[in-house]
Amino acid sequence: MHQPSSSEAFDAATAALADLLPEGGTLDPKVPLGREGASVSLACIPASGGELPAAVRAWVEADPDSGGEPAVWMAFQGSHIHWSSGRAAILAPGDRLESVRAVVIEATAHERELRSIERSMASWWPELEGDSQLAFEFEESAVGRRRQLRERLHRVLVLRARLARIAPYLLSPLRHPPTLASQVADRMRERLRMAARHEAAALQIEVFRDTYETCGARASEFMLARTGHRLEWTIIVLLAAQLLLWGFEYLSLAAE
Amino acid sequence: MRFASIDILRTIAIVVMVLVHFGENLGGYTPFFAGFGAPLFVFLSGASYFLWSDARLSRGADETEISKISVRRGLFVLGTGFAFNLFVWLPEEIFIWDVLTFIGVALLILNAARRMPRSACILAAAMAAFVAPFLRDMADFSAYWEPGYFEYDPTLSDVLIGFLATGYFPLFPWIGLTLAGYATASWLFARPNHDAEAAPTPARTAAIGIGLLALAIVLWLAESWLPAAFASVVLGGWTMFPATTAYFMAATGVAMLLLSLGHRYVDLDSRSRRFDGVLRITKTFSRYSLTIYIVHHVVHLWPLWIYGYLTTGDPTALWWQALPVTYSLALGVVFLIVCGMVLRALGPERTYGFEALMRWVCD
Repeated sequence: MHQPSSSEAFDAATAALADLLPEGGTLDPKVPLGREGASVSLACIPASGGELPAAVRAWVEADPDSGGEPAVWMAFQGSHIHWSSGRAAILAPGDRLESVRAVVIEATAHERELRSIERSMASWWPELEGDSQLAFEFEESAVGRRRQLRERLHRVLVLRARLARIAPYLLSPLRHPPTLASQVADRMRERLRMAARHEAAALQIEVFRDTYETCGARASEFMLARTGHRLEWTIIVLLAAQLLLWGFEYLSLAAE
Repeated sequence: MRFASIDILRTIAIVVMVLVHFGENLGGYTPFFAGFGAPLFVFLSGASYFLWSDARLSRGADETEISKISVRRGLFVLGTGFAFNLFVWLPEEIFIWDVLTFIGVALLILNAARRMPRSACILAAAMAAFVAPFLRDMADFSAYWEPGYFEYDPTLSDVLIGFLATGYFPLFPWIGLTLAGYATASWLFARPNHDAEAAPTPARTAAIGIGLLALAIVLWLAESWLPAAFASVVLGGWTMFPATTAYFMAATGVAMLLLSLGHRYVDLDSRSRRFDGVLRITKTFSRYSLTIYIVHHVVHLWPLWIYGYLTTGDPTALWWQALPVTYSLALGVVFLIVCGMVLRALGPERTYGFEALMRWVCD
């Protein structure tokens, strides 16, 4: 029986699994993924044959973070991987287990990042529809929204940078000569449709960027024109006052 | 959208004006609160114009339609003002430039002002106040007010001078108060946008109002220490006729302060709904304010003119001396009570009176 390598608390299903792992197996309930406390629960079983136990597969498929997506399964050269967004299990020969584990953690981190980007964009569409009219014409009543628009453009640029940062991993071709780790990484990218999702996310983010950049340009043009407009009115008011005094003087003389 | 704060202030203005007019015209007594009602009325005309035009725009009306209605309404009020002068103050007083003729012209100017940036509107208001003393000085204001009231020769120059600087409510400086009302309302009642920090707060406009009031008092108190030429021309004491610089600033400050407080503690505070009965009365008075303004003059001046004419042959013989002060003010109170009862019976929906006529003609 193995104790979890992390002392932190974890959910009941993961705790129960710890008791079911075969000899030599490890269960890490919180493997850090490098972004804002994100983690994955990872079960590793060193074995040169056989398959992942049914209990382990069930544990992966019961992942509460999967969002209804079925778990991904793959087998290579005696290695078996059962993967979901929040839970993964690896069965591999002892000498290759560590490299496969590293690959799974790396793929999970990138998939989690990609998913985070997709979710962010999905929540921004209603806002975009509301803001898109300002891409055509900016008006006085929208002046108070400039800061909000600036913040939205900023977050789009940040998101675009995040997407660009994961692009080398998502879009890199298979390494040569292939290794078990590189093949697992490639297969995971393929199974998780990461390249296609990246392309779709890039297309969507272009829409956000175009809209908010145009809004920014319109707002900037409007503010410049507004300043000029104010100056013109100031001059008009002063000239009107001068003309009034001048005209009134003649009127007063006429009344005498 | 209708704001209870505007209704309350307009009711205060009309009540003050009724009592002052009854007291002055019948009893020759000027209450201490004289000079408070008319500026508030003028200030609120600017504020109401903003609310009206903004509501129209929000309902999808285009600029041209609003301009046409504004011009028609302005001309209607101007025409009503002339008719009022003609029939109430008698024909020779037709160009005394009373508050109705002023508001008619102000509506025409507001139609142009609504296209101006707020800063330009404020500058125009300040310039109106600034040039007024110089215009009065050039026109020799006191020559037009020798009997204690405005008197003019029926010449084009005198009529224009009266309209611009020396009448009861000349364009300068009073248009400044209307523009200030418009600018204040555009700040206080602007439709909310998504940026909460940019939203206007009544505290800011109230602070500006207090600042103006304080500055007016300081100028008034400091007048005797200032150079005589400056003090007599630019400041000129504290009077409503003419509206001196200190008086004008104080009137603007008080109106801004009251509107800000009213908006904060009546419009934005749900506890004000406890006074629903009072708010219904003020709404009725506010909606019929133009009618009340005209009718209260008719009911106390026409009997005065007729009785004066029958007893002495001069309609104005009893002006300012017809009744003791107590009776004059009591009649004013009675008028307000009867007026309230009649308006309550008619209902607050403006289906009668000059307001309904204006809508029928202009909208």
